[in-house]
Amino acid sequence: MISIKFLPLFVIIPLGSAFILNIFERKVKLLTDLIASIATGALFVLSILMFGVKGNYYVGGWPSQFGITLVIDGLSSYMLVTINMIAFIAILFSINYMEKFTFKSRYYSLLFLMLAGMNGVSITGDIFNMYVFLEIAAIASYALVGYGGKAEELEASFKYAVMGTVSSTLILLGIALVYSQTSALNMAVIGRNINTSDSLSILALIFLFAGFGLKAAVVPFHAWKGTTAALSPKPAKRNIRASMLKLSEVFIFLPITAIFRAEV
Amino acid sequence: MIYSLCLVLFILGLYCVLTKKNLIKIIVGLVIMDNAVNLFFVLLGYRTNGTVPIITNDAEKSMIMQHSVDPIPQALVLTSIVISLGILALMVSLAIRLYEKYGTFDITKIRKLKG
Amino acid sequence: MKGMSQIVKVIAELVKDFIILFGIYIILNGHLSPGGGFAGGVIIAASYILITLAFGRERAMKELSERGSHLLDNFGVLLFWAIAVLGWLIPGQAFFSNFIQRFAPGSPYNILTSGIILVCNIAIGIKVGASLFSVFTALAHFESPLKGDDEE
Repeated sequence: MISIKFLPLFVIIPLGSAFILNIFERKVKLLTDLIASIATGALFVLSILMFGVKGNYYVGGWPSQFGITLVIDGLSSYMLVTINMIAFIAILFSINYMEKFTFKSRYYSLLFLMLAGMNGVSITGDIFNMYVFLEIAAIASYALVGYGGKAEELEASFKYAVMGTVSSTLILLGIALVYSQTSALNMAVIGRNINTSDSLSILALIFLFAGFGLKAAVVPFHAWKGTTAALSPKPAKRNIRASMLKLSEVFIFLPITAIFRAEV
Repeated sequence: MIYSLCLVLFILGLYCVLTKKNLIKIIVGLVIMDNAVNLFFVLLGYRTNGTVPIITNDAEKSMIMQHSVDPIPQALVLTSIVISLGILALMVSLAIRLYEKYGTFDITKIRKLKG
Repeated sequence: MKGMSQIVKVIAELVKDFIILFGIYIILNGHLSPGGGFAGGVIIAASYILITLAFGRERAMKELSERGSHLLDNFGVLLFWAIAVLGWLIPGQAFFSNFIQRFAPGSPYNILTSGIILVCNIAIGIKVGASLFSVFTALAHFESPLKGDDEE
């Protein structure tokens, strides 16, 4: 019953809920809470049900040298369960905690956009698609960190946004160099075709490592790790810290091992 | 030669982000960095004596498909430009809110955060 | 927010509808020539930005209110989302597939061709136009605490 056909639901449900919830105004509180809880609950159940499934899904029906493939394998299964579980618990906490903030529906839509971005990073098999989903998650998290409107939160949000934008630009430069060497964007095809003794490929690896490392605050780039932790509102803090940094730490290895398989 | 000029532009933007103290100048540095990487990416698709990869009604299809420049980087850069626009809108509105709260654009004075 | 001089006001009043028309042309010919949803949406937003700069923020709010631009924004994305999910629900087609082209293909080099791309361009154009307009009016709202330089 559960097959690979349900894989795009991890991106369909959060994106749809984010923009459906955005229509509601300030007064309708019960309906937004209900929709948010049902959507994240369904995603959590779906991620547990799809735990053993492995396979490919061709978006749009295009074969793999033309289109984007969605891949679910062992690492993706673990990441999906973790991300959806954290999002479900964060929504349950924030129903009560965010009562004093205005515009709760916009908080939910930002949270769903971030969830859609992180689910997308976990399941995609195309390197530029991964960059786009990473950007969706990152921009939603810049807005979430500064959601409360206090002075410290806005300052933390600005510093986090500068760090995140520099790291994303470095990742894009690495992707451009990888595309120039292999002329393919599918991660499996890049892994097959890349020549790791070529100096431009090593330069691409350095840029990708710098970009992902800066985003994940690993050891050479860890100076900004404390700034955003302290001051975002509580459910967002749990969600952002736990998911975004762990996701970046895990996914620092994914493109690099998929692409430079001979060397790493 | 022209690719290293793109990287010089990238380093110029990075220098702006690292050393300037005004918030608006940091945002300008980020925009310069994004545009430098987009320019680099589009220039990667160039083929010598290439034509535009658009098939119109009165042109010969095979000639366009053999001699055109690579259209994939153009599509990817379109997406990247939209992402840069989103980041720019967010950061400018954050800068305006910061001016309301702190009264200054100077980043050495915006230091209420500990740690 | 104060407007500009009388000449600018007269010209903006004349020109704003042609800018929207040009934006719609670029959106509709997105699959045949350069342009598409995003570029057309930016041009449509530029028409409303012209009204904001020339007349002041209240006149632009009368043309398209904040609530209206917010609703148009969400409508654009939900149209795009609905087309992609419709491709997923149809049995035998994958998510976000070009099902209009596979079942009812148009003739090439026409406007009504390439199925899903036209609808997605229109949705993106509406969304980007409304979004950029609401960003600009939100930023134009914060003009009081800044020290103006040439406001008379």
